[in-house]
Amino acid sequence: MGRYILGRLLQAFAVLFAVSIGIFLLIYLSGDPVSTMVPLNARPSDVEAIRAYFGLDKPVHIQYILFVRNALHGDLGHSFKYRQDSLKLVLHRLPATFTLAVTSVILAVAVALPLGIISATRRGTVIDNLATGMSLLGISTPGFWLGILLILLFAERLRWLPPSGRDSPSSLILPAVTMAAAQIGMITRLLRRCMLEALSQDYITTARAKGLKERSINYGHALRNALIPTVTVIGLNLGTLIGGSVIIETVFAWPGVGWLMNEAISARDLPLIRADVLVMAVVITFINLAVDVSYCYLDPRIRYQ
Amino acid sequence: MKELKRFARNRTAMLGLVITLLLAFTALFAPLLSPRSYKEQNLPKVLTPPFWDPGGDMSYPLGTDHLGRDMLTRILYGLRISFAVGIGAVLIGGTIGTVIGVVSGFFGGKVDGILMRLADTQLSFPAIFLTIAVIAVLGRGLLNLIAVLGFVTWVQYARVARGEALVVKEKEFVAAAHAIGATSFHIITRHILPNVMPPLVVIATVNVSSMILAEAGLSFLGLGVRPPMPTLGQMLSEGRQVFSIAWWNAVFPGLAIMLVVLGINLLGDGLAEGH
Repeated sequence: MGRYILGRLLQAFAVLFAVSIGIFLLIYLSGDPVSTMVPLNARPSDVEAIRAYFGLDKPVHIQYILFVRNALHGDLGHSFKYRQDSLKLVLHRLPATFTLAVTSVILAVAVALPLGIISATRRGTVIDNLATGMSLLGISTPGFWLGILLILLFAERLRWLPPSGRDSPSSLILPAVTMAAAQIGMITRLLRRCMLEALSQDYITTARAKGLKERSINYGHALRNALIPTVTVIGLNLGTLIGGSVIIETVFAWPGVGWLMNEAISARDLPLIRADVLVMAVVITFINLAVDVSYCYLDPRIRYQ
Repeated sequence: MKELKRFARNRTAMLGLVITLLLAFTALFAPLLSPRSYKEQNLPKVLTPPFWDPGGDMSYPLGTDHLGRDMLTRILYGLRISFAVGIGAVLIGGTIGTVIGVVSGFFGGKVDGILMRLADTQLSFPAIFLTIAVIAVLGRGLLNLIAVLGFVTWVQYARVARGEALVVKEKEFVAAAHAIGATSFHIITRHILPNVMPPLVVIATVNVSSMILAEAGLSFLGLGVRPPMPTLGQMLSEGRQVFSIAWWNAVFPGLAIMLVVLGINLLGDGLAEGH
């Protein structure tokens, strides 16, 4: 158990090491940033001076070491656009992204859990067909389009909710519902499939033979086993939500790291892009680590391996 | 044959196949089906509503956009990009993944260990996040998009291909091939590959729909194909600017994405049930 966690922790750091190389190489290969910073008629000696100032005249591996050293000191460079420390800018936006992602997960689980259970235990009924159809629609609808439709309906036509921003708690509703829709579809489908699979196992037949009530077979046996993979996928999906927040946050002008990323991309603000990608990568890595560790608490089979 | 018959009896799967093929053919033959070009502007006709609305015009069935371009024509051309990116990215990712997975599973050992650690590392990052990060730095364009989406999705195929290869290589017909002196290359291409393909085809089908969704999202952010070539995501992004006065600009492109993704997902579900 302790060994497993330690191994996973080491793996997480290896991943971050790989990410640091990846992001460094990407920026390095994207061309000379100085050429976009200086006017066209700049003197070559001035250009050289600027290159030396940013350490761009040094060999690649030295540049990488400098980059890692600065990053470990919390220095990811100044944003071209905001003229501020880019790491601070990103960290300042992180709580908004978390709020949105976590709210959407809670909302999705609250809807998908009962839907998946009913769907599996009443297989083939009208309710099951309805739930299956709705979840298929959920995973087939582009999130940002749903967001636009919701804004059109609830903000423009009905004027019940604010269309964008983060000025009041009600601003959270539309983006959270939008983000939840695809998850509802995914979780319902997964839970239904896992429960049906669990219900076809031998221990269910044994439970029936013992004369257990359907209720305790469904909830005590089938659901408990179906929840293990479902919870893992919900956890791992948090990473996808954070990664996909670039699109949803842009639709609703939600001031999180995703929207900031979009602004950085439009402005070709490389230090800010780099800081944003790195922070998101660290967050995703540690979420995955947390999910894996809690997974081995949930499923004893992993603990004893 | 039995699987084909079962597939033909599966009504939802057939519905998916019909939707997908219908959209694919209209996209393929867009230049023949539409009397207009996707960039033809008609300024007096700017923001014409769809034909059933008062003020609609039968020659612009789904209305026009902010430059007076025909929505239906642009949607058909946008679908071409959707299919091109979806299928292109799946072919690239699927080929890389299958080769790595089969080699990894067949030979095992150190190579297998390293490749699978690499796969774990990449799998820990959502494809959409990796794609945004890479395109943000490298720049946009159709080929960039297809290549990046392909390269960030090889892992799923590799894992499945490896798993299947591990099972198949223990089978008797592989041992028999070894015994008569067949080369590894011969065994992989003649015996392993045909057996690992079916589950990979199922994953590939479902993945075409996720690649189409990813392309739409990236185009929406301005990270997709360059204008004036229309894409559904980019149409939505433009439609968003005018949607309070011209709802059809924001509704139809999204509906098109949903239909094509739904069709492919239905098809994928049907194929998955067959296994």
